[in-house]
Amino acid sequence: MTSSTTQAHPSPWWLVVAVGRNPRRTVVRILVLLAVIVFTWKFAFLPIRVQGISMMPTYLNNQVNVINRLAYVLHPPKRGDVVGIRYDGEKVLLLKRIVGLPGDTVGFRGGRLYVNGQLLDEPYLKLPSNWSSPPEKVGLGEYYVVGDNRSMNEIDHTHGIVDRADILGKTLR
Amino acid sequence: MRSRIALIMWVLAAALAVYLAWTWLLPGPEKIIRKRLAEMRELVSFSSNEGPLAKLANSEKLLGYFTPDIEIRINIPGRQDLSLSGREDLRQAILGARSQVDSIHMEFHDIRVMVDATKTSATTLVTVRADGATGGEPFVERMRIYFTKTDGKWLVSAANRAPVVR
Repeated sequence: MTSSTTQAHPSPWWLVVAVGRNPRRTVVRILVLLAVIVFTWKFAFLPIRVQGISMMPTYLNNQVNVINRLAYVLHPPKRGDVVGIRYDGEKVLLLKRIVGLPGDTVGFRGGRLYVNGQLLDEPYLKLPSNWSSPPEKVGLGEYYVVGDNRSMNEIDHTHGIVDRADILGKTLR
Repeated sequence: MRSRIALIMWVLAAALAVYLAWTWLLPGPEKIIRKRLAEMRELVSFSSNEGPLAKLANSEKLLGYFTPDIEIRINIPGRQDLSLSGREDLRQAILGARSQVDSIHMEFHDIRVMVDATKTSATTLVTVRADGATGGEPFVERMRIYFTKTDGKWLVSAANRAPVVR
């Protein structure tokens, strides 16, 4: 009585390194990983580089950040959120802080921000300001946005009312 | 087991085919509006070799995309704000542009369509870019274009500037 055993030839080491011990499983892993990466960077997060000084000192020039595009899926934007606003498609965004919600009246007096006639507490402001502008009514589906650096000339600092549809998401940090 | 999987695959494929046929045969308002915008873009653009008859025909065809009471407000660089009321105003402006400029190439970027719940009106946000043959800076402006469904057709009832921050 004889018995013969067939031993599988082990794959060469370079093949194992390249595609793993089970190539089919490796392919599935790669596809899943690709799907996660595409979903994350196409639909969930948008990397940005801050350019300009309008959000100083909270965000500095050339600082890198990420916009969470899913931040407002379950709830609307809130006062104090720093958001990315589409300016020229999604290639150029404005980074601003929401200070006025739909229905609010927003204005500046003596460098201070008043919402519905009440002084807004803004602990994130570190620089002095002398801005003054008459109150503006924020409509439905609109938000009032402004940067944190109000020591700039008011005319040089883009701020005002934006559509909800233009708010892409909230900064991650 | 294998035949059950095959059956499920066939059902899914059939459902997909039905869905695609449905959307192709009966496109939703957003798809129709995007198509209308693309057609308008083609009609607004013209080249230097457009003949006088084609010029007139295309201008008249373009007018058919607007309601009779169309209101347009745009800002043209180097000129005052342009305000047009009604098709006749628009006709003059279109013919005027075609006689003053050799060619115009128009593009619509970043189109977003918001259809009202009643599905009889819609608002679109588009970034308009027009390059003329003058060699100057291109005209780039974000605009809000309002569509109204009139006699089964989506027509432009108003268009005005829509700066991102105002």
